[in-house]
This record gives sequence, structure tokens and C-alpha cells, in this order.
Amino acid sequence: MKGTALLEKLCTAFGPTSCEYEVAKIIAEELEGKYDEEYTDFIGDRIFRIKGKTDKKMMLSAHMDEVGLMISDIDDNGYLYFQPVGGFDVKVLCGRKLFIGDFGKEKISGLIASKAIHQQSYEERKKATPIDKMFIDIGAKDKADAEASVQIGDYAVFDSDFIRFGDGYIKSKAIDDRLGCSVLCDIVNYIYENKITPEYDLYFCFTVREEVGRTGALITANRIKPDLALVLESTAIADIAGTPEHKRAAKTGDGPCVSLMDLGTVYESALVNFALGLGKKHGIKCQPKKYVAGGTDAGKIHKAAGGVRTINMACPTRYIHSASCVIKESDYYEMFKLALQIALTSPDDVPER
Amino acid sequence: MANLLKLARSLTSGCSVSGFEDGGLSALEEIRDAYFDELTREPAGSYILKRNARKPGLPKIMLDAHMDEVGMMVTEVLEGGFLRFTNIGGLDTRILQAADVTIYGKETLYGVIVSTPPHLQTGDRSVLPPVTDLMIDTGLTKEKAEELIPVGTPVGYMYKLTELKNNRICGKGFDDKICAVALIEAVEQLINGGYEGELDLVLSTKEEISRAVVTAAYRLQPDYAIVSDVCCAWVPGSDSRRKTGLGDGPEISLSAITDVRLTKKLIKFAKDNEYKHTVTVEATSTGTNANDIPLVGLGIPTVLVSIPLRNMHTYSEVVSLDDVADAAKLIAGFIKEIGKEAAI
Amino acid sequence: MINELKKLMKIQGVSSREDKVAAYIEEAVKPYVDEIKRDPLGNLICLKKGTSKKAKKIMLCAHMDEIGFMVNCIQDNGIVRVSRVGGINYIAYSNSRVVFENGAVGVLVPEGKTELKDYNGDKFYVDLGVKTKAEAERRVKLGEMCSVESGIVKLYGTKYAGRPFDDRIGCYVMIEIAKKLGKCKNDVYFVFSVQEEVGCRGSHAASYNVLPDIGIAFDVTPSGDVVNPSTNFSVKLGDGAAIKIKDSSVMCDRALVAAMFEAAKANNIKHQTEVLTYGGTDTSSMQTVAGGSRAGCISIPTRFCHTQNEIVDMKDVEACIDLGVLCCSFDL
Repeated sequence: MKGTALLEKLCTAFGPTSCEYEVAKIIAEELEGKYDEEYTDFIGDRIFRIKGKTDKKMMLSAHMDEVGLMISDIDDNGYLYFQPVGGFDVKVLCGRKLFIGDFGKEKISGLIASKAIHQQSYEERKKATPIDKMFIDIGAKDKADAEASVQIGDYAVFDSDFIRFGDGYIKSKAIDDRLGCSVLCDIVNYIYENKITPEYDLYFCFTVREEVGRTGALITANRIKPDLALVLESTAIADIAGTPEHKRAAKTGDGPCVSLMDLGTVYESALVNFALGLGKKHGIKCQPKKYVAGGTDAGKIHKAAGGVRTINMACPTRYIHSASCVIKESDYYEMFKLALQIALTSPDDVPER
Repeated sequence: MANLLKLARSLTSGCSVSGFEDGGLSALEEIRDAYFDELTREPAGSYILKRNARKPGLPKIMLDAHMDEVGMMVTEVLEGGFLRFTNIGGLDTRILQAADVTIYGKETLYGVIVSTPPHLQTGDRSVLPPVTDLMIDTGLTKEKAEELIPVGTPVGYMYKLTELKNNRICGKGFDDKICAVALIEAVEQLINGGYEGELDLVLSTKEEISRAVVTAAYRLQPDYAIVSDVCCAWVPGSDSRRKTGLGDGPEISLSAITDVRLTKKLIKFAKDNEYKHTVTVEATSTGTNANDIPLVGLGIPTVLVSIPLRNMHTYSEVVSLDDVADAAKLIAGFIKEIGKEAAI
Repeated sequence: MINELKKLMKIQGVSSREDKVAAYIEEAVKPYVDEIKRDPLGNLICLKKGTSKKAKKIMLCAHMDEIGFMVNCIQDNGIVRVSRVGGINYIAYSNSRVVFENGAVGVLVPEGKTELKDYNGDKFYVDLGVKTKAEAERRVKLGEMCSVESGIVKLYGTKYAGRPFDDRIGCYVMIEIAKKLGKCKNDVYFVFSVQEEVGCRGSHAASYNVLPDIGIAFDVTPSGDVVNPSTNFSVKLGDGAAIKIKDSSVMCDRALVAAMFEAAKANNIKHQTEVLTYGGTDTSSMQTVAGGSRAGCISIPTRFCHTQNEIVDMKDVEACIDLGVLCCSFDL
């Protein structure tokens, strides 16, 4: 499987932070036999190495986890209470359908409920319902009934279909960062099918726990000690009507964003120009991201093990961290092409700092 | 219980304001002699009590409780021998006025934080002044105060440990030295039970400021880390979803930032063997050293076991020694369990 | 001497764009050190080897970067939007001249109708005096950085006003230490770090690359001798090198602090105690990276940090240099 078909499979998998097994399994099956070495660490980071012509190491990384909820309490009526795992806009939660489960457990359906609108006071109606006033309804009769299928510590993720719509757009949950995972798989496939020996020693890293703590990327970078890192992400943009130009950040359909700066990293300008230059040279659409916000695994990677030169490439994504992230399909393929060019580049062509 | 109480007294009686955790040193030397092979101090300040493995093949386990507590630091000596100060860590500003403090200057001195008499207060009397507007009354002349109390002198809550009913005790610095007591008790139980693996007890420093525990974890590179810290026990007015009360036993924290698998193993172990415990979810942050240890080096599987405590960061913290004993039992039992698996 | 400082202050180096500053410093310290390298993040690490076989590793650290802005959007009418790099006080920098890496000059202004309490990055833009996007793009590029015009002027006596004393003055102190040091038993690493203003990122990597036994930062600290200070500081301009006990990111190593006081007293170096209620420096990285080190900080008292007119007293700077030299032979 490849391209957005693989993306669909990955996006619909269940994989909140610290529970990325299902995603890891799909990736491992997809890449079976296409790499030289594989390593899984104790928290579940998966590293696939394709040996290169030189001993210079490139870490290509994407995170497998998605934002989710953790069940923190079950009340006598069988309602579940939860804490967010990752950053949510509280306004995207109420009323959503969910899958609830854990590793190796059957998923059950539920939905986020709160007091009905006609029971809310005038003041309450004007504001988003706060998280502690929301609960999950799984249709249980009482506490014992709920506990038969859900335990405290179980996770919930959005139940949201992968839909193609409009003029080449895709809507799904978990685009952040299954998209990066999917692009990495496509690169491995491409290298395998075309029997290429890359210049760099390539480490394809599918990391865990980005949405909380960024542990996976940090300890993976400490393990590999790469000479260059390419982080593939999806990034929040606002190319929507009514947003002033300087807050839009980027535009769907203009290709992947190369980050100049976010709250965790100031990217080396030589590398930013290198990436954008490669795009220009090969006729691949790409754009600098024009707003500074958020952070990625790069924030941990670039400070790791005495410093790692890092490039961050991200697919422009509307409504990130919601059940309905929206991307343009063409951006996916442009991102694949540009990431592939970087993966196959020679250490000699990368500008020195 | 008598042993736990004695340990609690000896560990909390001295100065252990963050960055100045020297007060319990003689107690630590005694503990070393009783249970450990060596006591070292890290460049970043943490104490490491190391018990070497008596037999190879067992995992290396790091136990962590932090030695430091919140406190104050003198920033200026004013006329009349009053001291301006700043906070070290998160002080509860509601309880400062008219509180007894100990000033660890060239001599150890008593002081009291001033409180403005009611007839001199204007405006809204319920507004709490910021810490930096408060002063400590030393009762000394300015000259004498300057001589004995240089700027930078740490100040802590005055030590006074009171026994309440039902094995409950009240005092300062139980956050987090009561957990050190539990861990030492766990080590004793393991040794008495013939446990032969390596046990490294880290009494870390500066938790309230910068989590200096990471340097100890980096040096030790343990196979597992068990962190013990205190958690807020339920009191009237607490969040209704936060239920662990004093006497309910240790609280196991489930979080995506610590090790979920190891934590679930611990919960299962506690359930299967009927150890007294509660489970809480702290999805993205535990607010303890357990947030930072998993990120060290190539990663360290970490679990957090908390002891419920009332009135955190005050001089009247209350804990139940029963909870301390239960925490020790649980931790000792779990370490034996991990050891069993590794040996297979 | 002051001329060298003037030169160092004039070179621009917003966080991550410190290459020109590094090049200048490299030239300045070259005759006095044995090895020089840049690490992957751009930290300039200069080693002066010690004479003793049991030499300790002393890491001295001052950051080369300064706060500034990055161009993140060039609008149709030639308006240039910038993001802050580091802790910017928009009130202090409002209506200031800013200079770009390529020398272009603009003025940083708030949108009209913006109330003082709403001053933040989204409300500000740079006016280049152009009319169109094309004109603007000929002057500056996306991702390019700028900072408020630099340079210093002499005030009364030995006091100077200007920017960015934070932390070129620390770099200056370290260059002078390198010159004065002579033979020393310890291995002394002069680390000129990058990206301190965005969260001590450079020193994080540099500490890992050096793994020091003792780490000492040289940075500015706010001076309390101003009218109605926002909170109480005991540090005063002209009272000498400020030996840091704490800030909100670090409790300095007590043995190191004690040794600094002792050295200052024994050698009649004017010094004072710094207890800072907020802020952070490279000290914390040195203390907590990898296995950690004994870490401390010698601060240069500075009024009005992070404004166009930071004020320092060169007598304090001298004291910091003298104390720094003594610290290089510490054995703790």
C-alpha cells in the first residue's frame, strides 16, 4: 500500500500517546523485508535502517501518536470522565463520537456528552463547556456495567472517517502525524523498489509520545546521534476566509511547509534554504511557514547528544488536533517528493553550517 | 511505626531548602551504615545511596525521593533587623504571615514573618501581598543582622513535628522526605527478605526548582526507576474527582509521560496481591521527578508511587504513617516481582 | 579596550544567527587558546589546555546571541510582519529602528488604535518605507532576522548605555579572561554559546560536548538601584561582580559560590551577592545536562535589561574579569 491509501489505513488506526502499538504494527508490516536493520526500544520507538554509501547518519522521523483522551474516573451511573492527552481546543470535544480502548483490547464506541443545551444557564451557553463538565457516555447501565469494558487508564480517540471531498481535499483524524509516518513508508518503498543505495546512512524513525513530553524523539536521537535530522510533521495553518494574511501561516495546495522557527526550535537558515532550493531545482512545490507557533519533535532532537542539525517539513493542515483535520491531497505527494530528495541527497551537497 | 517516625524526625528536622539540603546528612550516614554500601554526592547536589548487587542478573533499580523542600531566601537586610526575602519553590502565601521560621545564617536563628496589624491595613484586606513585600522579624539590630545573615541566606519553616491521632503526623518537609522514609523502609524489607539485586536510592535535590535528579539518573542508567513523591490528599472542597484520602494507601499514577506498561504491571501486581493502593490519572504531567527521568539518556522506564498528604508546601503538612508503611510494602513487593521476571 | 567592546557590541547576532559574532570572537581569542571548534548548533568552543595531569574541566560560558525578530510575512502593501526571537518588551521597543542581517533598516511600530495593554507580536510590523510587496522583498527576505539598532554611548564616569550588553558584555569578560589567564592547571573551555535567549538551547548541547566538572556562566543581571524597582533586588551598579546564589531556573552550587566569595575577598575584588527572583541563564544547562556539574554564575549588574539602553559600569566588568581569572584555577 502506498500514498494516501496507506495514509487512510494509518489515520484510522488507534494510537494515542503511549499506546501506539497498532500504528507500529501497520508500519512494520508495510516495511517488512525492505530494510537492513530494525530496532524497537522499550517504549516502542521503531527504527528501520537502510545502509548508505557513507557513514554519515540521517534521522528521518515522524511520530506515531495522536492526541487522545485518558479515562480518569467512572461514576456510579456508568459515565466516564477523562483528561486530554495532548493539546486540545476544548471547543472541538463536546458531542464527538469516540473509540475507547487500550492495547490488545476490543474498542468500544462512546461519545462526549454534557448537560443538554436547554439545561444550561444563559451564562453557560455563551462559553465552551469546560473539560470537567464533560463526560463520556458508552451506554452503560451503571458503574459495574461500564467497568466490564472500560478501565481507568484506557484511552479514547475520535471516531472519524477518512473522507475525500471538495477539490482534492482529505479530512481525517490523526493526520498529525500519521501523514509523516505514511510519507516515510513511501520513501522506504521507493528506495526498495528502485534498488537505490542512498548516500546517507538512513534511519527511519517512527517515534512515540510526541504529544506528551516528546520522549520518543529525544531518546531515539540520543541513540542514533545523527549528523542530520529531517522531521516530518503536519502543521496548523489557517488559510481560511477572514484570517488576516500574516496569521494564515501557509496555504493548502502550495506544497509542504519548511519551518523557519517555532516555539521549540530556530531552524538553521542554511538548511531551510537547502530544502527550499531542492524543491525549486526539482520543480516540487514547497513554501516557508509564515507564522511562529507550536513545536515539534525537532525541539528535542536539535538539542540532543551535543546538537543535531535539523530540518522540519510539515504538511499544511487545517483544524489540527480535531476530529476533522483537513489537508490537500496534492500536498501529500509534493511532501513525499521533497522528503525523498532530501533522503537521497549526498552529505557533500548539504551546506556546512 | 516507631522506626518510621524516628526516620521522619531525623530527616525533616534540619535545613533542606532547595539548594541547601545538608540538614539530614548525619541521618543519611546512619542509613548508609545500616543498609547501603556507599553514600556519594552528585555535582548537581543529589545524594546517592548505593547498595551493590549481591548476585548478578537482577535489574538495577533506582529509587527516588527528593530531599529538598520549599523555602525562602534573604534578599536584603533592612533597618531594625528586618529581612526582605524571596520564595524558593512554590510557597503557599496564605500561611506566611506570623509564621515561625528558621534562618540558616552564620548561626541558626529564629524569626517570625511580620503581619501588618489590622488597624494599619487599608483597601481590600483579603488581598494577599506578594512574597517579596513581606518581611522577617529577626529581633536583632541591623548591624547584628547584617553580620549574621548575609544576603542569600536560606530560610525554612521552623521544624516541629506533632503526632496526631491514628498514626498521623503533622510537620514541615514531608514533601518529599516522608517518601524517602517509605523508600528506606522498602529497602530494609527487601534486604531482610534476602533480595540480592542492586538498589540505588537517590535523594535528589532542587526538585522544587530544576529537577536536578536527571544527572543522577544519567550517571546510574538504571533499568527501572521508581519515584515516590507526595500527592494532595482529599479535603473538603477538593475536586470531587480527586478521591485519594489520607489512609487510603499509596496512590499509583497513570500517565502518558511515565511508563504506562510498567505502571499497569504495578497496578495489576497491587490488585492481585491485595496491596492497599489507589490509582489516579495524571494524563500529561505528574508534576514530579517522574516527568523528567524517562527522558534521560536512552530512556528509563519510570513509575510514580505517591503518598497522600494534606496542606502541601506548608509547615503543617499532614501524612499518615500507615500510608507510608503501605507504600513501603508495595514498593518492596513490586521490586521483588520485577526481580523474579528478570531472573527467568 | 572600550573600542574592542564597541566593535563587539556593533556586530549583529540574533539567536541562531551568531556567525559574525563567533568569527570576531574566534579571532580575538585565537592567540590565547589551544583548540577551537564550532559544534553542530554553532557554539564556539575554545580550549586552553591545563598544565596539570589531573586537570579539572572548567567551562566558562557566555552567550553570543541577542534578542530580535524574524520576518515571517511580507504583505501586499510592503508591510513586514515579524515574530519575536527571545523575550521582547514591545513597549520598550515600540517605534525603534531595527536593522536587518543584510543592513536594511526599518522601524518597528504598533498598528494604530493599539492600546498599550494589547502590545504583542501580532500587533506590530516593520515599516521599511516601501509601498509594495516587491519593493519590500528587494530589501528583506522571509526568515531574515533583525534587531533593534545597537551601539553604546558613554555616560558619567565609567558607565555606558546601549545594547546588547546582554550578553556581549559576558563575551567581552571571557575574552579578557582568556587574555589574562596565562598558565593554568585546569583545562579551561571558553564556550561562547548560541540561542540562550530562546531557552538556553546552545548551552544544552555545548555542556554535553564539554562535560565540565565546573561550569560558570557570565551574564547580565538586573540592577536594583532604579526608582521603584518592580521587585526587590540587592544588586547595585558599581558594587562589583555579582555572585549568583539563585534565579528561578537554578540554585547555584554552594561550594562553588563559597569559593568565589573567598577568592574575591582574598584578592580585594569588589563583589556583591545576587539573589534573583526570576530569570534564567546558561547556568542551569551546565548543572543538569548529562551527569551535571558544579555550576555557578558571575553576573554583570545591568540596568534596564532587554531595552535599547542597558546600562553597565565598566568597573563592575573589570571585577568580573578579575574574579573569572581566579575561578579558572578552582579545584572542587
